[in-house]
Amino acid sequence: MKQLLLIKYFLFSLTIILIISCEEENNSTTIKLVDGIYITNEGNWGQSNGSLSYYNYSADSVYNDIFYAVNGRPLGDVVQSAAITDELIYVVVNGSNKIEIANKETLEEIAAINNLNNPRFLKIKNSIGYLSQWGDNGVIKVINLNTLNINKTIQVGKGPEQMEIIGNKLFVANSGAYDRDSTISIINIENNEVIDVIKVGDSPRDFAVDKNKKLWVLCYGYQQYTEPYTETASKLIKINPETHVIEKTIEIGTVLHPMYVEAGKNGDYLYIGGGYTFNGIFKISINDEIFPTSPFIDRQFYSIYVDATRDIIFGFDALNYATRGNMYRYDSDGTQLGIYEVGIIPNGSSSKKK
Amino acid sequence: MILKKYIISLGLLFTSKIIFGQVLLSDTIAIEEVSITANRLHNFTVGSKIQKIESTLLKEFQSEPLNDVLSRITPLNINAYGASGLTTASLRGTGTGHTAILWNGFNLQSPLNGSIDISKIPIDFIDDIQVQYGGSGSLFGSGAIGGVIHLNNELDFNKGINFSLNQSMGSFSNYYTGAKFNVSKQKSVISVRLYGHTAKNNFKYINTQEINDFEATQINAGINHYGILISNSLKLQSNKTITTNVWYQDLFNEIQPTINVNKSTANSTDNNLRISSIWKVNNTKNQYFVRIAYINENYRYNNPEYNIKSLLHAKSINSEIENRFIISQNHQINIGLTELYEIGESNNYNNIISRNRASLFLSYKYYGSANKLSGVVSLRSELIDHDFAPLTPSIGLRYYFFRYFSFNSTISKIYKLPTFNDLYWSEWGNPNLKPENGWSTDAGLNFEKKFEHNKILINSTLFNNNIYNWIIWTPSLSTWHPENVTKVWSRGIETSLSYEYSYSWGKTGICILYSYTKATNQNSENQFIKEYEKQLIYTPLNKGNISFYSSFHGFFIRYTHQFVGKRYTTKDNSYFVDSYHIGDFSVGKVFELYKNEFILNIKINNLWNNNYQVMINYAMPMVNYQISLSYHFNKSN
Repeated sequence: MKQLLLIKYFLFSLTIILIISCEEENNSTTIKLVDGIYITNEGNWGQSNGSLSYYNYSADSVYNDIFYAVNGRPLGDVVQSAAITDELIYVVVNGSNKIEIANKETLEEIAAINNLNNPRFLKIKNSIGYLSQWGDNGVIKVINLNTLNINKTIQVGKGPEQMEIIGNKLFVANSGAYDRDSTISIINIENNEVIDVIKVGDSPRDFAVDKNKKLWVLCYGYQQYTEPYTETASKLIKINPETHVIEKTIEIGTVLHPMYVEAGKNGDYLYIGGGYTFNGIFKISINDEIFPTSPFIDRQFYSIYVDATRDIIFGFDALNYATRGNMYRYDSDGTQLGIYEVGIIPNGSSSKKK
Repeated sequence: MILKKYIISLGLLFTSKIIFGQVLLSDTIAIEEVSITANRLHNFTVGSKIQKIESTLLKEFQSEPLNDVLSRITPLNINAYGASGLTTASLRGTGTGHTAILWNGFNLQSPLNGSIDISKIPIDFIDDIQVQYGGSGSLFGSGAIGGVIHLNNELDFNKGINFSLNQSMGSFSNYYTGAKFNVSKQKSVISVRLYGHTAKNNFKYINTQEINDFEATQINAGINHYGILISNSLKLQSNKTITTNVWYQDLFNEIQPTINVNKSTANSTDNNLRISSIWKVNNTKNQYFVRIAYINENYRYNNPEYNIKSLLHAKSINSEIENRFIISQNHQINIGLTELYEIGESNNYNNIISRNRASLFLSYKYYGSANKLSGVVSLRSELIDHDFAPLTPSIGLRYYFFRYFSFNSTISKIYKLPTFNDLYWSEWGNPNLKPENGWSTDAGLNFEKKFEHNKILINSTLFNNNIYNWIIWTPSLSTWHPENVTKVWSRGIETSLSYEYSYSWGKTGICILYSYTKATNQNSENQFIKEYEKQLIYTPLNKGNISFYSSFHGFFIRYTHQFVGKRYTTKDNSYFVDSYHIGDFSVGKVFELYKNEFILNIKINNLWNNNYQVMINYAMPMVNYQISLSYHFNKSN
């Protein structure tokens, strides 16, 4: 009898296991992607868990993994940035060497541009896309977004990063990539020729345009981790886009390396912050001569974004880079409005100024 | 009585000429009586669940690497970075460095990174594989946390001249050639084995990550492996033998890129020399062992595109003396001292690193009259340079009851030393790391019944591991540092059921294994809050295997089916890689001609043509074929 009991025990344990082992599946919901901002989440390198999140103002909530939810496939490996037009969103997927194109409001996939070489950022004007690429020794690919053909490849400096278009000029920040560069390439977008190269601080990364249509470039500073160890100061530099003359240089710090500069509402103020281990978001008036000593928002972010139309500041915390990050939302006084969970390694938003 | 039955049945299995076998959930007590290899595994692991991979199965898989047989018929969690990439084994929800792999009793885990690539171990070079479940730090030292895989070379005296040649070819330019030559006399045995394994692995897979699914061809996933193993055993006197194994391998691997990159020329080269020598004195009341091993492993990684070259060079000398003696009919003692000197060299370190480890281990075994109850108490003390590792005790017991049942249980302290990479990686390493440590417990219930031609084995084992000071790399300031921060709780159940029917002209059997493993991060500090109580990455909750086999009149067929549940790829369980099923089928025939034996074997791997991934973004081959022909010649003395 006892033997029978034990046999029953074995069968019972097997049944229990089978019950436990039924894994649950989650369903997606339909969402309309208006009245908010897109958030790009890099994801971990090699793992294709880069994603798009969407923050909706009226619902005051974030929808994560929306590309996967709509299209049933991952966006790709290392989602670097996105550019938005009236109808479409162009997502630059660095690790997958591609740009994914989808409907801006539904995120339904439309097309993809493949076989790129280390793509970083996309700037769009009049259906022409300017893509910065670290590959091929640093180039700008000029893409006809109607045909998705690459019209031209323009050689620029090392590690071209963010870009800005003022009038008929495209300004390209040559960050140096894994090496050193401290120049901005200026391209005439009518004939796509480099018309000037100007020297700024080490490793220019990001641009902002103030209310006087002056161009501000954030130079990250140079860091060399191998012998001889080198570290140079980060700088904020104001450039006259007409004459290409540097009008002001504000030193930020030798050991401080912010990655992002954003113009606030009306272009009176600039917000500086974000980057690996950089603490705080700093607010500086375009008339200031020195960098503030204390941060406007005292928290470490991997990236920042300012929704200039609403004067809302977003800070993205990548936490330990191994789990979903957090998004912090602030008003223009620096008052915290909310904390939200986003994707893995959130690196900002590019629902920028068209 | 029961013991006798075991011995008889095991003896039959070992001597059986039938090509087919199954997973045998062997009993340790039984094994000690029939096998006298120089290993504590057989005598002092009472209470541990041990799975012996039957030798006939090894014969069938002789042209495959170790991971192929382990993934098919054990609950081991095998993680492979594609067809040619790093392949590691882990058990019971523990990490890759937490399953020790012992070759003739010596740990092959690299002191530099704590792991070993099991796809670089050819099955043809191993005569006996046993998987010991659960921690056993007291017996086998650092790294024996989730379990231990024992790989042994065994030489038999007085078997005459044996020669075998094995040629196999398969899809994706997969060629394997193996040769084995044995001369076994009354007092000496020499065995020479050679193999060469080359594959292009230019298989096709479906890329489902892009806007339109498309068929892609894998690139840069080839291998070129060559190796030689020379073994020699001398019987000095009737009770004294000395056995030496010299194993050299030259391995070239292309390193498979992920599917979204699918371009790379990265590759690695291994040159490994492993020597083990065992001197054994076998008296009626006691046994002495002196073992010496020298291991010299050179690994070079080369990525021409990014101009990255790295070198890992590990050398170690391990010497061990052990004495086992019988106090009385019911009591046995084992005492040993092991001394291990490890040297690590890498372009990632500032200096050449060395570490000296000395351990004293002691076991006491009791076995009751009538062999109903047996138990072992063990203790290990390890001195690392000038610091003592935590004292490591363990207890194990086994109890037979109701004729067909047995109960076994172990409680063991477990630990793992930090690797040289963790400690000394230039600028980033943390020399203040403590050993990872914890407790491993398990309890199993077994049912075994044989009647007429039938044999039934059922096992159900519950396990629980708590591991503290688990080392992970975390970002701090501007770099990453390894720290003793993670606490892991892994627990679960393993169940197996096997049934075999033997008849005069063959046998038929089925074996079902299922394991449920919940392994969670228990650190609730704010920094890790999103990982708290979440399943560890690449640790499936559910894993199952089914194998069916049959042999008749020299024909044999086998079907194995693996199910691996979804595995999370991020620590907060936000992303995962899908579960998969794989079916493998093989069919063959043994032809005997006087003293010659030919075996033809045809395999269809991934029979159901599933497009799957083990590690995220690393493509795996879809359906593929293999045909092998082996020739064996035996002339007795």
